[in-house]
Amino acid sequence: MSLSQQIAQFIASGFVNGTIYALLGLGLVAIHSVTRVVNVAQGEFAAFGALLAASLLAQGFPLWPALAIAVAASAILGGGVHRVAIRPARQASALVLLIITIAVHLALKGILLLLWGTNPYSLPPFSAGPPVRIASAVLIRQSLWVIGITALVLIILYLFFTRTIRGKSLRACAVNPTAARLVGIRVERMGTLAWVIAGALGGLAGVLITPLALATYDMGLILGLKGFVGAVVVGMASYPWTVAACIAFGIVESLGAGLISSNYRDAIAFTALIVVLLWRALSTLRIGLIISEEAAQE
Amino acid sequence: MTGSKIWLLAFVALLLVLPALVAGRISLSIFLFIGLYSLIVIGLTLLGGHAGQVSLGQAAFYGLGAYIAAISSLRWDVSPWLGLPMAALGAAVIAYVMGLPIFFLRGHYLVLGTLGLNIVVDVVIRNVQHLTGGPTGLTGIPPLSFGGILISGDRAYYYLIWALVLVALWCGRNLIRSRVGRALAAIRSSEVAAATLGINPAQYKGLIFATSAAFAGIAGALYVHYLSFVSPSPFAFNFSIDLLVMSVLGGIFYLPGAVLGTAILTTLREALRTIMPGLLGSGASAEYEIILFGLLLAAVVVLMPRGVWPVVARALGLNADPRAADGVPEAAQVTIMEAQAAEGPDPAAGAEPLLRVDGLEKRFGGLLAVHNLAFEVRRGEVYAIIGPNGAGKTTAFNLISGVLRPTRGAVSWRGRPISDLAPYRIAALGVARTFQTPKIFADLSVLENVMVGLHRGLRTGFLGSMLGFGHREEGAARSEAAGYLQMVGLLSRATEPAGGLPFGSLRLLEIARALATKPALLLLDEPASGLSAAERRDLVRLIRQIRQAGVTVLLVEHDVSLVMGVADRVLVLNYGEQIAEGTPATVRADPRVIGAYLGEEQAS
Amino acid sequence: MMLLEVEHLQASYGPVQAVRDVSLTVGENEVVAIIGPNGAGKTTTLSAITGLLPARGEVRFAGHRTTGLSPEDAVGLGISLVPERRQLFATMSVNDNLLLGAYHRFGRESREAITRDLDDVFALFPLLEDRVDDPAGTLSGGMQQMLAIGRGLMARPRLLLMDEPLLGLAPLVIREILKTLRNLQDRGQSLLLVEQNAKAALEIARRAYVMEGGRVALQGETSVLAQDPKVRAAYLGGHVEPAQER
Repeated sequence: MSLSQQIAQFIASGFVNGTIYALLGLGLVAIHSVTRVVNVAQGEFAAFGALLAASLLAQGFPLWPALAIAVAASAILGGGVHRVAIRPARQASALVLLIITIAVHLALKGILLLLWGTNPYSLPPFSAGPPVRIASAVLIRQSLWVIGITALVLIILYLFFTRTIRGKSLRACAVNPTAARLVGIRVERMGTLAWVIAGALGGLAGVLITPLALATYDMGLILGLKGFVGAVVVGMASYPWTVAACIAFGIVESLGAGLISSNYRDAIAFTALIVVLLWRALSTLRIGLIISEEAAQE
Repeated sequence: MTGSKIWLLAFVALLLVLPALVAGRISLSIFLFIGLYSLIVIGLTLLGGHAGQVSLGQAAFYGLGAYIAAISSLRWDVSPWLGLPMAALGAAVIAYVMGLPIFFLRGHYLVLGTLGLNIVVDVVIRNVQHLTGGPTGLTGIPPLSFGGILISGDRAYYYLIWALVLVALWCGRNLIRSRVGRALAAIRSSEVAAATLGINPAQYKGLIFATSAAFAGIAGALYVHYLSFVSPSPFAFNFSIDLLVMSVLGGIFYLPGAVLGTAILTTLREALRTIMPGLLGSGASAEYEIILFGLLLAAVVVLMPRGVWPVVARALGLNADPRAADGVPEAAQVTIMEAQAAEGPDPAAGAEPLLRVDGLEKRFGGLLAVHNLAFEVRRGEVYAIIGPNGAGKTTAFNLISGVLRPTRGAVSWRGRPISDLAPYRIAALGVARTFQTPKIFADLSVLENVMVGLHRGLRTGFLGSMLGFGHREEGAARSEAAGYLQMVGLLSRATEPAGGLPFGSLRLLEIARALATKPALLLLDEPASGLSAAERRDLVRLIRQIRQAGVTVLLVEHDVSLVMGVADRVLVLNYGEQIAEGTPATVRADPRVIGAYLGEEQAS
Repeated sequence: MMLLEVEHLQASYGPVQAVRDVSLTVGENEVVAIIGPNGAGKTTTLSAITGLLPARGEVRFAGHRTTGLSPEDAVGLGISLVPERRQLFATMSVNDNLLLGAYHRFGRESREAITRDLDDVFALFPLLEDRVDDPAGTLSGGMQQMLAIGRGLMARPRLLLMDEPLLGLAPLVIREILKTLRNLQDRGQSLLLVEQNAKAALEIARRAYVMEGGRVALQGETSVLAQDPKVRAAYLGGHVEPAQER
């Protein structure tokens, strides 16, 4: 395989990973924009969805119902976490809320370990067949499922946020919570809805990636972190830019791992993150927004 | 002797006799590790509780310290005693270099950056095999020795580590109570207000972050010399979470909480490890441990948001507040305002206006907040800008004081452009300001608020503060601050928390705080709004007094009568347009002013 | 029966007790103004009535006690606030801002009724219709104010509260907004208006309250208040006197 072919291959597989990160990143943005929480436990939704789907399949459920149930259960888990752990502490500081999600991460990870143990689980590819050639890259069919389903979800989310009053009210809570309350939107309920969406997106990411990489009880943290990177690099605010950043992150990671050494996969990815952060800081400095946020709020 | 000193002595005594007490029953190593982790958590507490920043990468600095010490003593034959400061310094430098830019961003970016750093450090340690030994690590690291005597064994390291913990606690306490601690409290309360008093928020946060990294680095170095062996696993990201949990558990605002939280978590983990298999059969412990940890952490945070220490402190009859006031205010030593402190006598007095604003414009999205503003303020005068609400007066102040950058136009100070200077640099030139909604440091006492204003005039630096220097300077600063309070009539409330003052007093306190910076120019943003009639009269008297002391005043106000009473010159704005400028008498007679602002029918 | 009755209202804004004792009423189809200096507690009064801030005292709306209700419930009852500084959904379109104004009506009323009201707002503010897809944050100050009023109207309130609708607007725009307010008045919309621009407020309202230091200092018919020498001196910019020490 020539170098350019290799590079094409790395980009393609990075793109696929990036779409997975994007699903997690979108969930984090939904949660953060409505409830101001940075959710460390986001990856656990993916682990839960993946492990549940694998068990349902083992119980004899057909593939698609098993996936649907797993995603729905992840959504309920998301809403439950908000009701049980986040809402009671909604007056707390950002730091306390962050710690609470760390606690949730630990508790969920422990429960997953209890229920599923340390063994890896797998799901079959969603359809059988030989790999597909696109340009000079070869993609196995599951990769296409990942990209296709993610694209579909993005379209559904887009329509939800721009065409339905429920979706608009969710955005309104993020843009201006006080104004949202004044027009009668119950911001707390919208918070739960955001967590439900994040749970579903997390669960979906889990079931999509499991045919490509095995699912384990502790797969969540790193997966969630990578979604977090994409989301936070663009300021935890924009859905489309989060998707773009997550995909870019996936590609950088894949190129770095492929061209340098796969041992350094995570190191390259997170070094890129630190560089982006520093770059953002320096450009902020140049424009002079340093403390303008607080001043502009007045 | 105070209660806190008795308890401290009791604690030290307990530490001293502990090895004898537990000998033969429990391994001393668990207490040794509590000390070691406490050292890291103390740094995390300073960072989180006092600089308001969260690090999820403290294990990385612990690991950096460990490997710097291991490699330098093992491969480069550096004396282990030199390895300790090298470990501290190495961690601190990396933290500062990475932290400083991130602190300009504010928000949760440090969490992300440190988390990334931790993963990077972990991967690098595992992979740079020729240096670190890879996943298996390094063995045969020499122990510390003292005068030819090897320091080895649990007991020796136990005493060494706990001695360092006490030193770290002492340094932390000094820092919190010093000028630096005050500045940090101010930054936490309002970064903008702190910056306009001459404090560089990013620098202080960076220094605290570096300090916390240094503590972690030392802990890492001690760890490798104690074990004489190092491998990458203790420095993974999970341990960073553990450390943060310890800090929050004990109470992230309290230094004793750092030790308490560490002790609770470490013993709990140890207990679970020994008890669980017995209860549930071997092999079942791990999952329950994680679940229990999660639930415990959530419960503590929700039920005791400030951690366990305040509860314990109350039981011991202690005041948990680390910044508890040192008693009554000193006898006030009346201070006369000194203008010109910043740059000495004005070389071009008279020739150049003190402040010149030229074609200033500020746009927020589609909103034009300030449009083509131009005026000059001469030395020694009271210059007032009046105009309706929303005419952009406050935005203009933010532009002049460097809080905002203008979209177009320039601000110059004694002929020198200052529009792209940071607020703390503009403050250093001798420009002080107040805010329309007073930005008081609510956690600090009234007196301390004024002392933050004195910040730039004090010399004790970061290290000096940590080592407890500068007592004499602090004493002098306290009486000077008391002088300013006396000037505005707030001396009797000096020790009260500033957050509890009534609104009118907050304004006066803010003026006193601004005067304490010894400004050449004082910007007052609607100082009369929200004041009662009597308070307004006091304010007018104060402004006149300030002017007499030689301080130039730039005033924004829409109380016309107040402005007419104190100003030498007045600029009248009307919806982004400058319609008149001159003495109160001329302005009042100007037909455009009468028409547009004072009301058509009432030409007086 | 009065539409809104407020008795001995007390409310704090942060550590400051901004409203100490306020009693006021607004009748059906009536326009009432609250004027007074900065910091007199006007905005806090409105916030307490809508439930944005906790309040003590008695608030009754259409005969029901509503003290301590939430702003979400207030909208449902028919109290809508056009807040100070407009508080628009800045990154969302003009259209979305208006639709969100009718949020509580979705699912209860027909889509047609809401669209009809949307057209109604555009008839009131034709300028908004030209910018219907633009983000609210890119509008000029005057148009943002129109949008804020339009959003308040989309809730079909029985009582519309307005906080400083003229703040920071150019004279021409002020005239435009005042015209709209008169228009609303003619349609029988009940209004409670907080305004620093006392001249304009006294012109448009039938009755007014003058607040000072968290209390109602004066009240009455605006025709009478406008002739009151104290009001003229303090709020109508009549006689400008240097603040000499007395």
